[in-house]
Amino acid sequence: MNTDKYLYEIIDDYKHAVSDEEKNGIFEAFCSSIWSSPNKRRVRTKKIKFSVKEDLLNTPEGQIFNMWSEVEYMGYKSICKESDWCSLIRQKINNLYTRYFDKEVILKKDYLRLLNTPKRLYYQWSRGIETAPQQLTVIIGEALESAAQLKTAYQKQKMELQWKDYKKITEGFLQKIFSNCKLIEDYEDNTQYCNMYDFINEDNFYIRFFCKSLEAYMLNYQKKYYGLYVKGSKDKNYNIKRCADCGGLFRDTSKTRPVIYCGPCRIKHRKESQKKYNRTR
Amino acid sequence: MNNGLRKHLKQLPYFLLYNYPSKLKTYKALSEKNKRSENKEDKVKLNAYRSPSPMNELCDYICAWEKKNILWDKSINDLTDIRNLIINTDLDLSDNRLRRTCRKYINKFADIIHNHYNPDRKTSGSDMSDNEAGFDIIADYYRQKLLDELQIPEELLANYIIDISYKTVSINKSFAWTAFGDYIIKNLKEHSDGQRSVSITQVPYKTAGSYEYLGKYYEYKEGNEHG
Repeated sequence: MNTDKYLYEIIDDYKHAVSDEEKNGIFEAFCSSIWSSPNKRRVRTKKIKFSVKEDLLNTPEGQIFNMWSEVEYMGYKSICKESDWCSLIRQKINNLYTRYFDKEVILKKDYLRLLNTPKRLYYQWSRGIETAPQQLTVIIGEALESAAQLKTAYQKQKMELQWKDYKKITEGFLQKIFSNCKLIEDYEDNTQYCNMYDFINEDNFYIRFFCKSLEAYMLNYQKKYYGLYVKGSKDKNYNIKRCADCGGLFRDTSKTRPVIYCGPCRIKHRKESQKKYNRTR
Repeated sequence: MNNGLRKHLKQLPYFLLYNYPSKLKTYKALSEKNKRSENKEDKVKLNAYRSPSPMNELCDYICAWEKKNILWDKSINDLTDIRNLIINTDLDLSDNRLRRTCRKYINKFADIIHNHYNPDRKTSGSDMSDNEAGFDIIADYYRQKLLDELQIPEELLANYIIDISYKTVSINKSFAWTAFGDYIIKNLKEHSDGQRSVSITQVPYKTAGSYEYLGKYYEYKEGNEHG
């Protein structure tokens, strides 16, 4: 197992390996330690909870709030307590999968804010802001309905990939990272040094490089997935937007008016509106 | 003029840049670009206005203080000179196996310090509880462990540790100073030129080598610190 070694030792061995077989051996051992790490991806149900005071439970408002005192949503373990390289890199890999591919976990701010509506309204009410019980039911119902719609929209924005395939593409990224990674002494010679604190070990520099690179490779993968990636392109004069219908990425080349649909969705919507127009004529 | 263009025309007061690191970065890049361009027409408008206002002057004062008291020279080239001063250059420090083991212990010590400040975190690299004792005791423990493991004289081990610690700026230097601080001072003394020490002492009466000044006699003596 590689976990007894520091990451800088593994990179050092990889860089000083004489043959390709030796390099492959080191890389495979590294991958197997990452995949066998006990820090697995964990998804669990979380709750937005609050409790209505006992003396308020008999009021009509109190009863309404009591119905919504627990709103469930899917969350995941996004940080780990361990600080060894294996757990930290595995945590990054887990987080990237959840962020880009897991359709069950939606943790966008506006979605969570909508789910938080009953709790927010309860505390407003307990502070003395009166709202009619019927109106409360309507507000909460609307908020949760739009939360469900928002969730569907955000689910569409995620890409399709099984964990098994994700592992393969991640290994590809890690291979690139291994070959691009510089030793700390070479990095310091050419640019700035990376750490001036005595309580940080050398692994910190490599873990940071791994995590940043994984994130960047994932962004490139996303562009490739939607057919927008151009190798070596530094042209930043175009906007990449999300389609309001299918949730996919598309390139907005129009300079005159804002575009909200990607090419195929635009055609679909145009046809639909044409049909609607023909029906009304 | 549209909003996009108007945004670029906006200039902040200089001191406020320190509240927006990305804008400060842009300011530095723009002023660097302006320095390079010779034509006045090529110079770009900066994103901050540096008037001699009290706040900007206070900001300059704080920057000057920080430069003097907090920031230190980031030059990596000096590190080789420093290293040559604090190690015994007569010793052979090229054994990779020894270097690797020493480096591991230096990083373990960094983990100990890290754990000390983050008691919630667990580290697999350290095999001694940080709550057990102070850093000195842990450093002594590691030194003894290294001596037992490597079976080399203490001076050689000390020089390996110092050499590795000062190979790059990023490597932890606490272990070298805590466990082998005496060797660093010793090597530094050996590599420094003997400084002339000068003393002027008052003598009660006129002697052969004394000088008179305002009715009193003083002797001037020169000596070497190292004997």
